[in-house]
Amino acid sequence: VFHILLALADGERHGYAIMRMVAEDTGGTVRLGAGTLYRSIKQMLAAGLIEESDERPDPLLDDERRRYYRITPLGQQALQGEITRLDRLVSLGRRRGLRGAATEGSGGGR
Amino acid sequence: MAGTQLPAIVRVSVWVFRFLLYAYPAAFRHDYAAEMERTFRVQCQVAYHQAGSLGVVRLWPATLVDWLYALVGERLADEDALAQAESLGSVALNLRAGGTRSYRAVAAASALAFASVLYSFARYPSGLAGDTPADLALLAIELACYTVGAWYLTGALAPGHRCRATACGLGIGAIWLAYTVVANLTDWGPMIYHLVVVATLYGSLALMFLAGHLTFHATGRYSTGMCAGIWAGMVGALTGVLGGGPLTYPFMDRVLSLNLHDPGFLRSGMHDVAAWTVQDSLGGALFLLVLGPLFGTLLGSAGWLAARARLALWRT
Repeated sequence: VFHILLALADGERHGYAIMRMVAEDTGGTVRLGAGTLYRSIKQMLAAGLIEESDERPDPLLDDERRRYYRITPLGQQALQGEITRLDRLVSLGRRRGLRGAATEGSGGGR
Repeated sequence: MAGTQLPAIVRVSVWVFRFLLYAYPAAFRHDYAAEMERTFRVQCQVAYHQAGSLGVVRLWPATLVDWLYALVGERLADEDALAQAESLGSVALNLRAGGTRSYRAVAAASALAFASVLYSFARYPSGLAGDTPADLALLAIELACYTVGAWYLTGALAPGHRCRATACGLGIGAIWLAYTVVANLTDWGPMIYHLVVVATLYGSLALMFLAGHLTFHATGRYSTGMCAGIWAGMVGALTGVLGGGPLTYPFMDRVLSLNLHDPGFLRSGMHDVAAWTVQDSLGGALFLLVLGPLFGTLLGSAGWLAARARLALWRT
């Protein structure tokens, strides 16, 4: 859910674009299948975190049957809340001298 | 890219994926199947452009795992929604939940019935039973237990949707009574006898199937269709058990004089009506309490699947 909200944070997207964005965002570690993606979309629509968009970014270029989704104000609030929570956890870890594997790698250089 | 220009492996993959989508609940499929298929087609096209046919093949293991995971999740969510919608819940849900009023009642009635049958055999180790009041009382207890079990079990079936299943169950009962007559009162030779046995078995199974199929078609609910199959089996067994004795009792001399074709445990050493009835009750009890629900579940599900497939074809 978090990854999907994150993928929709900077604009509306259709299912495949969300799938690709999540894979890019996570460096390929999270790969959503169609089943998981649309189950999550269904639950998020029901929870009011996202909504279906009637507009097409470019109607001439895109398949008009494709459905686009966008984040709602409630979804933005949830995303912000989750980012804040994660941020606090990361800060707490750092204050205790802990560093993630990715941070260690980027800090080390070559 | 138009559908006709897609590579063969992409077209076949999309076709298989479309077929897999039929396993999802109808509501979910209605809302998302087209979109999921479109997304999967793009995935296949991208994989094909990146790595050829092998890329598409590599897509499948993850797709199948995802399909199964989402399928189980959606089915459970569907059943949960159904359970909330139905005040009594379904037998399948009750059994899955591991104990409700109907489940315990059936278990208690079953235990009592089998205890009664076991007592009969303990009292008459050779398989011979008298027609004393005690024997008849035992038989009455067994039949009462079957009735109570069936009554409580059907209390958990979808109320208002039992008519078709009951009709199918009465059909099963009629088939079993016809079998009783043929097996016990006629001497048509082994060929006819075995044909009758096969017809009885398949006729009963077909009617359970039909009960599941018709009830699903009327309600659109998986659990209701499945339970209808169980109920049909119950009614059939109950009719067979209750009707078998009275039907053959007046002709018991003829039954005993026949050179019967079934030399197995059912008739060997059977000398009087009580023994016959008790042993047939055991068969009825096994059918009622084990095979009825088992085949009812399997065939009710099969009937449901057939109805879904037909509905899907009709929609397309």
